[in-house]
Amino acid sequence: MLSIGIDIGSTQTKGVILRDGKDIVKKSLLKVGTGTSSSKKILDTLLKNTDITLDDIDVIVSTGYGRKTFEQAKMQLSELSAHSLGVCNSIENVGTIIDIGGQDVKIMDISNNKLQNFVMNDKCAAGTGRFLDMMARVFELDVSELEGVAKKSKEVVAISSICTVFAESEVISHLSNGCKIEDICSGLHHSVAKRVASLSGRLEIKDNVVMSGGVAKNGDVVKWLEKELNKKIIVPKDCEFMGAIGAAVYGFSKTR
Amino acid sequence: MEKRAKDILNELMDKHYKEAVDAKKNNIPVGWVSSNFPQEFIEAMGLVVLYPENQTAAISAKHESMKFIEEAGKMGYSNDVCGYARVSLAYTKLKESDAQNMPLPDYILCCNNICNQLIKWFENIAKDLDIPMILFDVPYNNDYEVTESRLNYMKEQTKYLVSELEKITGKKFKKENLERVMKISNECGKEWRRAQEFAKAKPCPLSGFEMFNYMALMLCARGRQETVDLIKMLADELENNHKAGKSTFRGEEKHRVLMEGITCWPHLRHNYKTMVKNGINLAGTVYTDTWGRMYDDIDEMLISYGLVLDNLNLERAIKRRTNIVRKAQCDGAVIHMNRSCKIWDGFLYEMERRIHDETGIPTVMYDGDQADERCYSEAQFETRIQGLCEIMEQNKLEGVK
Repeated sequence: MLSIGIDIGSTQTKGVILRDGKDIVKKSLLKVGTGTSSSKKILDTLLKNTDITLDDIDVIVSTGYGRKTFEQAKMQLSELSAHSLGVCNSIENVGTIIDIGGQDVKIMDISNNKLQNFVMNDKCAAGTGRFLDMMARVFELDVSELEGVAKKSKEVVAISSICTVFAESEVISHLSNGCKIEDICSGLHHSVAKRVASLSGRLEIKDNVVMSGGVAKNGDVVKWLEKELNKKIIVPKDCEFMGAIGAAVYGFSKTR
Repeated sequence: MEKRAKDILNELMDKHYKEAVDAKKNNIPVGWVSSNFPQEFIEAMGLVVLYPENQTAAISAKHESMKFIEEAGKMGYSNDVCGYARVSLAYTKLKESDAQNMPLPDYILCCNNICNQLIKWFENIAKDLDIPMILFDVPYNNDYEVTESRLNYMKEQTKYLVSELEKITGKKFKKENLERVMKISNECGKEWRRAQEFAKAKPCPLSGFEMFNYMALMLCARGRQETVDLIKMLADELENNHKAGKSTFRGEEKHRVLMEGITCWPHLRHNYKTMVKNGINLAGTVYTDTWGRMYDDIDEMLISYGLVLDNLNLERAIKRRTNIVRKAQCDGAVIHMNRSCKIWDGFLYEMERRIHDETGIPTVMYDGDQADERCYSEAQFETRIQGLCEIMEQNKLEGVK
């Protein structure tokens, strides 16, 4: 049985084709999110270069901010449940999931592979993927390059602003004062980790902490978060597809 | 056709405002009063008063608040100041509202039992309009109970209150009138508690949001017999609905939640639609639960004003919430992080944690504001409510309590 999960986030759209609720047949990512042409393109992108047609698909489930406007979805699921299902499908004995997305940070309490409770960030982009996107632009880098740059840091520069816009001003000010880009970069990652750790404190952080979402691919953020939480963090291979995987798993479980 | 409780409610609220308009025309002084002021003294002296918090809530619920919020910004009031205060202060300048007009005051009565920001709000109005203000100072309770020294402090102030009111209004205070109003107010509190008890029944005999409408009248007229009669009628309607298994809640009540925090008035409709769509009813609301005030004498009356929601120590505040969760058999809690109300927000993280730890129910928190439309995101609210709903569904399937 084939199920598709589509995660239409604020900055990216992810899609996954799953066989029998567990094997990833294909995954695709578009670097545009809700309100764009991504919802029209994602299915084509997923099916391209496969032998699979839309008629072969048993169910399509959508999640993410754009979930309600995805017309081809038979069902939709909140990204909270979707990420929980996706991570628990990939990793055993999950205790806590931390998802840093484009504009949301979610901390999910998991027990017996089920979502028990969650907390999310207040209405502010600081600490989210959007924050890092903006800072990457200031450095004239792609966001995927931030980790590599930060790894060269010898003397981290603290970023104190809690507002993304003010933090940008602070970064520019540091650059003007001759601070090294790698030190500022690592400082930014540390500020993200501190913000997320503070949010995490509202729930009990159990062992087996798993990170999902695009920001989890940034090893420097993960390293700082491990320091702040004093916990080892597991980053699954397909961390940014966890929402889409979870949606596909959900579709499979409801349709088989 | 026989009138229902909500028809009479509208009539009584209109009457409340009309009385003030007529008083102004006849040169009778009109006061503005804070919501949890000991209204027994006011009603006993037959004073005509209005409540700015009622007005600002109505203005916000009817989507007119931004005009005043923006004006307040020009007047120099920061966005961090309470939204009700900003709307009210701007109203005293603009003097006109499509949603809810009311005459400007000739005197101010301020009781700070709900917060100290009220003092500055009302003082500013008094200064701008050059009118007298009486402050009834109720100290915050660090202890579980209102201590004897705090009670004595409040009792002493009642003498000053009465003598100042007599000077300002020209009306005479009589003890027997106070006793009469206290009796009526008690009856009103009793009927409100009865209505609230039925509102917590399973399934709820009404949509929980409806109680907010009646709250406005409890705020401004709980010392009047007509309010007792109306709230009794409401309680009877709810009792009848409960016995007949009927409800005004649209659709199937799949989940019951506790609503914590002041109402997000500008987006109440969106709150309501989102929750109804997910089969969620408000079975318990912290905000409405506070009006069932009952007492046997003046001491107990004053103690009850010392024990309003924002004046409780943390342990007592938590107990109040967990009691509601248990009585109303709530499956989850929805918590409004209301930007305007710093005193309420200050304990909400801990409150959320304690509600979850002591009752086991999942909780969700969302950003909003009681008056400022800009502090809310529909998508954020919908995602969080859906997430909460999915957990409640799962708990139901697994028989988790």
